[in-house]
Amino acid sequence: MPREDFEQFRRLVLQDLSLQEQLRSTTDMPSFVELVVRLGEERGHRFTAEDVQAAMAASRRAWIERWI
Amino acid sequence: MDLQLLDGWIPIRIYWQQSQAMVDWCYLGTRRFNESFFEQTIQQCLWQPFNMLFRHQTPIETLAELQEAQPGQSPSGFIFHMSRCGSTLVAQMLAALPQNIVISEAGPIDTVLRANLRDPRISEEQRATWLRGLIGAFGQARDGRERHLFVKFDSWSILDMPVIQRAFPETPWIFMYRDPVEVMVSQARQRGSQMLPGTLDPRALGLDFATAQQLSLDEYCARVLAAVCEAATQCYRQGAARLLHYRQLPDAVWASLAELFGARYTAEEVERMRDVAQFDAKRPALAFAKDSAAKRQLATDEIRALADRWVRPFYDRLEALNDSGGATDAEEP
Repeated sequence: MPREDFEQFRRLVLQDLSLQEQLRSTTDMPSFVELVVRLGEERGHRFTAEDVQAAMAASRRAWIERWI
Repeated sequence: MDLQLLDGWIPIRIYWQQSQAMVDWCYLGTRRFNESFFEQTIQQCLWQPFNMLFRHQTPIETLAELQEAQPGQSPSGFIFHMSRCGSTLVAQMLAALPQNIVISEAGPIDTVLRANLRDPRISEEQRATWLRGLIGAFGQARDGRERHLFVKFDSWSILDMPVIQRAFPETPWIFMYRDPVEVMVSQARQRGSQMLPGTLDPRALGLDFATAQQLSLDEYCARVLAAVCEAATQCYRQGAARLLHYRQLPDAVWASLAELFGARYTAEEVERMRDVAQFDAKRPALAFAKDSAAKRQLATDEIRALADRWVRPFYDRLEALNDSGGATDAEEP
């Protein structure tokens, strides 16, 4: 399932310093999302740009709602 | 987890997953806390898409593990204050020097200090342990120049001084204050969240919930300021702490405070701090100007009466304890 695939990839990134460095170097959003999808696919994780954007929105909401 | 994975990461949020307290971490790398407030630095970092999407989430116990494995910089000094009295200016002056880590009103600290309001079973000892771990994480070396760590607390945090001193009994601290009329005028113009009933536990102010809701906003403000100043008078011990009046700024930062905090500044560093003091600490594009006279002129009779009734007794006590000798403010016209 794409969402679980993305979460597995997220966990992979958080353990892999070279992947983190690669992802941090791209700061414009469309290129970043494209890179996340590509790097995920290269490592056997299949998810779409929409899945990445949904995850981003969830992270943003968690930060905004931190006082609630 | 492998704690080396947290090198360069900072706790930005404490939250609960069912009953487990969790830490949300953001990567800062070597970025310093240059902005006026912790949240502003974090917000800048979260604009980076990597930082918004990829954040470690760990149990809060990881903080203690990290502190055990990599103790980090111990805090050199704490800044407490009654609000709107120059505390942000002091923090910014200290932050101007690259050897200083300055954490200003960090949300995670407030969450930990007031965790018992969320769950009364969370003990004072537990909060102190979490606070030690949190400040230990903030004090990690990230750019290699760090020698001092300063923490400026939210103005209401002095009400939790027993927890803070349990965690850090040896850390020197200052309490910053100002004429209560001037503070109340500032708060009336733009209210801090703590000045709205419902943010703080009214029992800490000697009020019940119903009474707190019925007070005017100015009276509620006076009661909050009174509680904060009263706590400062009760906690103050000569030698371990210092009281700093707004009128003593900015020179006190590189003079008496340096001695208290065990810091030594070169002439160049003093000049850098003096430069920062020329600008409004909260709005750095604007020049700083002491505005005591202007604020006193704007005060309504009600504000004066409320300040005198609730806050003045504690303000007078602070003045008596202040070992500056009550130097006058020579810069006001």
